[in-house]
Amino acid sequence: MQKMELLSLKGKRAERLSTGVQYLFIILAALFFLMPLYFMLIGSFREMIGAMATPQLLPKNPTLKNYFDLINSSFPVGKWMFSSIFISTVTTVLAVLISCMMGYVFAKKSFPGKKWIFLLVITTMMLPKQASLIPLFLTVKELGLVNSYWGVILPMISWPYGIFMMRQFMQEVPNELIEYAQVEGAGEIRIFTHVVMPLVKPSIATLAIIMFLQSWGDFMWQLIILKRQDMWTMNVGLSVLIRNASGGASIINYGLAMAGGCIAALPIVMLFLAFQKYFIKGVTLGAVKG
Amino acid sequence: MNEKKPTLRSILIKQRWAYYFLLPGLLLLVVFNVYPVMKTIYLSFTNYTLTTKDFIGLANFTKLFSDQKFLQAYANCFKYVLLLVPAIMMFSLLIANVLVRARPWIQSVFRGAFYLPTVVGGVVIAAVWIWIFHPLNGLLNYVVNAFGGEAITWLADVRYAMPAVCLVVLTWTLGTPIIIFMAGMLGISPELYESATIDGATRTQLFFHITIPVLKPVIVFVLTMEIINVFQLWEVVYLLTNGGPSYSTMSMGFLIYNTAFVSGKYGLAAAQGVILTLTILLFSWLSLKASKEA
Repeated sequence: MQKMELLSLKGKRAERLSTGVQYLFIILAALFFLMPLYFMLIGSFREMIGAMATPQLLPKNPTLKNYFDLINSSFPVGKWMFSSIFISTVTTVLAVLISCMMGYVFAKKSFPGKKWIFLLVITTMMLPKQASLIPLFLTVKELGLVNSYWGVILPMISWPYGIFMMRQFMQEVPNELIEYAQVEGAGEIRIFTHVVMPLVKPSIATLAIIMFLQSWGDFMWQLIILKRQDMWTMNVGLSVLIRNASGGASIINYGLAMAGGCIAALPIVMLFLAFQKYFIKGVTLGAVKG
Repeated sequence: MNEKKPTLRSILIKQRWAYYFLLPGLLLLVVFNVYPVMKTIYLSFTNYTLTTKDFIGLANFTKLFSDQKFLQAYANCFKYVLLLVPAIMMFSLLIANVLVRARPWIQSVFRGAFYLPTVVGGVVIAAVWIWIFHPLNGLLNYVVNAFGGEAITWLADVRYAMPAVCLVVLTWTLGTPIIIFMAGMLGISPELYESATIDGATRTQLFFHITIPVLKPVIVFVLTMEIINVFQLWEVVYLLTNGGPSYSTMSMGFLIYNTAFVSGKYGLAAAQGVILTLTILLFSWLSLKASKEA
């Protein structure tokens, strides 16, 4: 009897030790993940040209020089920020609207051809972007939308995954509410805007966050479509700073790239901190039920 | 009242709003999604450039399969998948498994920490890693030197360039699978664990005999998603190594971009796109099939 208790005590102690080791592993891993972002922040406040770029845990001579250099340089950083915010916002608003409209119809209406149209949406969802990249560019070019924000926005707003997601959410809207509104004589548009949309508000917030993050993080398509320097987004502009820092320019200036990185990260990080709940919900959608 | 069977016409009129609601989205989907996919297949059989657009049959494909650069980029994609996907799956499952037992506020702090690199995006992450890898003044060689090692040219050495790119991609993308697995694990009924614990199961046993089997559909979903993502990898390669040294880090996504938008060979790039798409479809089908049989 006593021996058994002793054994279980030993087991508990071992378990506590292994918990400690596991937490240590997690803490080290998290520090490793945050380390690059920390050094980017530190690096943006110190001069990092050539031999001055050796690592420092805290900036020895903190300065705002990189930020001033960036703003006073020939790079229109303010315009890049405007491009990023404008493109992401417009894309998000339009994508959410389209997803809601199509999701609603797929969830609540029955009409000839529904099955086939829905199958079309699902099929396009599974194809990688390289499957359409080149003709997409040629089409956008023919439409005269190269070097136009719409060339970036239009191809992104009919997003199969968003349509599919909103269909799932719209299915949870009670049919009785829609029927009641119909009996009351509400038109289709009124039912959609005043009955259905308000009921799926939290889902709309989640979809909006995913869409914004996706559009903000996009890079390849922006690089292809926006050729004019004053139309670049933060990502495209930053990529040029990075490629300059890695040897494209005669003077290698990491501080400038890091300051650019900090400016590019600031809006989306603030959004993340403010709406963390919706970000997390957006990530788990589709993967985990409930 | 005699009820007539509704004609197609009357249904179409009655349900016209459904079509009005679908129309804008469907139009965009066809113009920017469906039509380009079909056109890619057509373009892959042409020598489409700014000056030529002739149908040349399978010439692009036969050319690609004897093109050393293409074959290397194609092989590299499999190397990326083999290096990255197991690492992503293993680390995210382990980290999630520890975090689900923590207090809610600890969970949310760590979830935020692991997801932050994904939020800021690959381009921002690359802005700092390009310095970390710098052979003379970078952080990594500073650490290597501190332990008495020789400085390494991380991004210019064939042996280290691909692992270096993989490390950056890992820190950039691990947040998403961690969050998904945590949500999945938090959804497992605690009673399952309790009854097994009473039977004397250790934590390792619980992980392999309860967590993994119950979570299987989620694991398959993440696995498929990660394979698809890694096959399309390109921005970190573009920013850190430009595909070098001597093509050792070139990915298919980057090669397609170069072929089309640097060399202007749209037909050839379309053929590369077709091969990549078929490969991705094959592997997502395989991982779904394997999961159903297992």
